[in-house]
Amino acid sequence: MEEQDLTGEIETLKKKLAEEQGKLSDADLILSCQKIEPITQVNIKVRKVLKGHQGKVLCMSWSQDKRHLVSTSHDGKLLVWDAFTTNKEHAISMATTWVMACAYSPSGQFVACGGLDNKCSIYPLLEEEPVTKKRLVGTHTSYLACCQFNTSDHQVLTGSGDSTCVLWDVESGQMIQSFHGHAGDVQALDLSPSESGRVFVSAGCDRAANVWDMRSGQCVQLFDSHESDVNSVRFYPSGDAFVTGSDDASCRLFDLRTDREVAVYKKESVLFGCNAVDFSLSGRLLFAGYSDYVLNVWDVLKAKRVAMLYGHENRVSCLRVVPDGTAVAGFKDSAA
Amino acid sequence: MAAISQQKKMVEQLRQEAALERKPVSECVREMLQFVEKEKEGDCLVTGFAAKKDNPFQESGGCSLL
Repeated sequence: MEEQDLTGEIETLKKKLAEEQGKLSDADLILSCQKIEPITQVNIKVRKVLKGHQGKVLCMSWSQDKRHLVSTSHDGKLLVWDAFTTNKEHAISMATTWVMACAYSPSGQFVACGGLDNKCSIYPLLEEEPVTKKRLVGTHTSYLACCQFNTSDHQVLTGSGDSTCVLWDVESGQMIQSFHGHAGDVQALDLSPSESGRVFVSAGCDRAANVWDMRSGQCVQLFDSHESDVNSVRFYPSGDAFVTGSDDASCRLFDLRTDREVAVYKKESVLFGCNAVDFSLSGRLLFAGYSDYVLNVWDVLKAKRVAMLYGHENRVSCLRVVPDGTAVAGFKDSAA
Repeated sequence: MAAISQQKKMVEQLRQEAALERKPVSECVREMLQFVEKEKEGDCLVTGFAAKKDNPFQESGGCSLL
């Protein structure tokens, strides 16, 4: 009897939600922006090439100083680069290959990383031998897919193949909060730029993007319109929306305030999965890296592709815009 | 038994989502456009650099020996 009541209530609630969302759908982003001046040219050139990894680059992260970046690779190495000079400042060999996640700490003094070892570890860059001062931050029951420092050097948020995300205290290695709700491997996460330390979004193989309240551990919003694995997620610079990149060859923009998908970035000729997404500073441009060697640049307000950036011989696996918006770095299989 | 507890969780989740305050899409679009307009000038990848030397990634000019 109880089960029937519950099923009934679930159906009623779902219908009510759909109705509420429908009522607010009084405009269309792309249609509303038709009168906006289009982007006529995109003058983006390859300025630097960072060569040094021997295997596929799996993850990268910019430092807040806007010139250094960290990258990790299938070859088991973590490299710290000065993007202005292209010099490698640090090379750390991991105990594991397939280091799928890395993050630069806000102060620039540490890098966090992990992968098939199921662990998230932190390395102090100011030490002579960072590898000897390695510290374990947390362990999952499956691979570490992504990690980010939460507003300071003291907390790290991780996402794992075990379908959970966890917020860890670096000093004690304790779990501060865990986030359960994904029905598949978590592939990516991003912290809100406006609700610093309070909200983050995660996405994964269950085709969904979940928005979380970091204090309660609750999933407050769920978006599941993608048709395949979601590989990448990034907040819109204002914090009001976020974009996802998926194996279904589309990128989608979801607005948190209206609780729905507001735009889809796809083209008949774009057939390959999208692995990485990021916005330009104003949120006008969306950079998306795909499995067919291309970096597509989309006009966010018109859902039109405005440029295709080549310069990569292999799959674009990760990309990130510099914190001050002056450049975008994209890593392909063995070089930036 | 497990199915019931899962359903209870789903009901809880849906109730919370139903209680969420939402804004109409038109308002969100307006705010997004305001944001893009405001940030446009500082977005180098859209508006470019005023001078070549403002670009930190630009190769510095070479010298020629006379």
